[in-house]
Amino acid sequence: MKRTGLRLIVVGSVLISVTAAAATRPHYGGTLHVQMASSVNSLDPVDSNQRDTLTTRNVLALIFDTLVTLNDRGQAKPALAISWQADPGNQRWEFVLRPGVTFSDGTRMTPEIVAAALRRTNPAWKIATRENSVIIQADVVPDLRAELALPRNSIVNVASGKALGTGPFAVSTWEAGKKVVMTARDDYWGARPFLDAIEIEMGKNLREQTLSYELGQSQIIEVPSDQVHHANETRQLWASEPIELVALLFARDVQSPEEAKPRQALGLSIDRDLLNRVVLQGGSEPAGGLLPNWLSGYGFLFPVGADLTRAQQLRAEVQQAPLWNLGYDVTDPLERVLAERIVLNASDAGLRLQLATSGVPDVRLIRIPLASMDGQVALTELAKSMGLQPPRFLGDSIDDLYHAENAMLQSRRVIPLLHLRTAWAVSKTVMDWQDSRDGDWRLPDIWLATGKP
Amino acid sequence: MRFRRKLLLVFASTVFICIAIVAWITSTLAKQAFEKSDDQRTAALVAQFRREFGRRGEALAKRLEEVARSETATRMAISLSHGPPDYATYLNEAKTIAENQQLDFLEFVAGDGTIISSAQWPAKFGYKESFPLSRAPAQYFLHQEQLPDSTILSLSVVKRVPVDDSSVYVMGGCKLDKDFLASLDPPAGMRVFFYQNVARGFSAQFLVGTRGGVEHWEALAPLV
Repeated sequence: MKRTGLRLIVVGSVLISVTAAAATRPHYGGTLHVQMASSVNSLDPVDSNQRDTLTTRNVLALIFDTLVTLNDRGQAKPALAISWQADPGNQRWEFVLRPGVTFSDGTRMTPEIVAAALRRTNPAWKIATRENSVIIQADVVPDLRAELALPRNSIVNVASGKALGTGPFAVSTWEAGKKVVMTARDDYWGARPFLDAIEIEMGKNLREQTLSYELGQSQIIEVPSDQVHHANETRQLWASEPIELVALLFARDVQSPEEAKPRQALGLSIDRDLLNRVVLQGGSEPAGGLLPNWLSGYGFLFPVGADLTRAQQLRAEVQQAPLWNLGYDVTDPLERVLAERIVLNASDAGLRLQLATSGVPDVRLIRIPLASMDGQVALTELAKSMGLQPPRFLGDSIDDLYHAENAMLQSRRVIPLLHLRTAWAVSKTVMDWQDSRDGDWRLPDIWLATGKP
Repeated sequence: MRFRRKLLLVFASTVFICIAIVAWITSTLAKQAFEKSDDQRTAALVAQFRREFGRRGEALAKRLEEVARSETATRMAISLSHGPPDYATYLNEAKTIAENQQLDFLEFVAGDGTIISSAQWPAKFGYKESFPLSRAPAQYFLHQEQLPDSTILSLSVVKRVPVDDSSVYVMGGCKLDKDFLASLDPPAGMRVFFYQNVARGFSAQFLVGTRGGVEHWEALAPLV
């Protein structure tokens, strides 16, 4: 009797451990449901009318691949290109393409298609093909590999008006700005994703997202930067490094030293620390520079503290302060509060700013996500997004990066304010979710603990 | 001059003077009657306005009393008695409570006049409230509410939440706009408008009728 009991205990333990192991082992299947406030209006990575947001990048990265990718430390990793070689001077590069890669319609990826895709976005580059490789000659690019990792350099095959990619998912349903459903590709070169499909609903407000998440109807929702602190107390939250620059951008260059003074005064009058602690509830970092400190390593050299006395002095040095119209995105409640606070801070220094919801503003509140994990490419892309002169790099050292960034700041066209984090609430049924510093989703690697949400 | 002519002149003059006197008396009496009627109608409208203002004011005071007695207000007052407030904690409090209580404006202000949380101007935390709250009327009152990009007429109430040595003021209000005007029932032939006298000279954007903006405002401009 005693022996039978012991046998039963042993068999029971084995069964429990086997079941537990099965529950923690990755398995295929299931549809991941994602809801977000932002929206994607085009599934063409080259569409210049589309606003560059992290959401757009993340959605497009599920459909398209680039020749190389950058890891969290900004180092190039093979993707559609398996190896590369540069001539001395880094102006001519040869990328050997991965064999056996196909687009979502089954078309084989060829060097000609790759060259055509890259020419579409970079008409100034000289691109040639050779057997299974692509040769690129580009003069002014800081680091061609980092440049090629940008979403706009995704390899797109335009067939019958559709942009097709080589990514892990293929689009099955597309309603611009509202919904996209993607199904996993069995023939993906990087192994089939665990998920069967991903359904992304866009343009949902926070209340709708929260409700859907709490009811288990979606497993991933967007958390606004100013809600990160509260959400962290109640949900499983993932937040990136501070990657989105919030800044004031003047519409035109400074015409005289006199004109620079009120702009400098404006920068000194803004209490960034209070903006971060109160308005953003700690969901950001005060920014004195354009690149975040965690990326550049020298961000702390740019002062972030408010100096009202100095701001008032600078204001007093000009006879009459200009009246600036401050533009912001009226659909973004966070931008509204930030803009109102900036107006109040500016008035403390004797500067005149008024909120403008229409017309061409003199100064705009902008939000731009970091484009690359490579400092030089990130700074170049920032300048491009803001319509500023591209930075000039004398070399590829941190010193060169610092001097280029400092020169951009000294132009007084842009006043950095904050770097925001991007955050997502991720359901506990989503397994193997990997954090990334730059806000990238790594959805092909995740799997669902249950088939249903 | 002949006697006949003189007689005609005297007679004509007498008739003319009589007619003039009768006309003047009739006109004066009619004018007085119209003025009296006008005054009565104006008084009726003013009384109606006051009644509605008072009714809404009392309802508002009750809601503000609830807010002042709420846990949030007490918590805020207690926290203030321990030192400077943590604005981050209260940034959205006023907005949330204002939405629940259906208030257009709501501010929590420290005893020294520093705004702790504002529903209508969330970014104004840490700045001083320009209205002297300690001297606010005990009941409801007409107030010009400052917003980030405009000023607006409001019916406002201030309540004080005392805790030990410190206190928090709760100032809340409702817009006085087209909806308020639409709730009035002016006598026939009368129209009612609000005009905010905040600009130098007449400005049509500050004139509000029962449908919001006012067409043909040019005719009303000389009245301001």
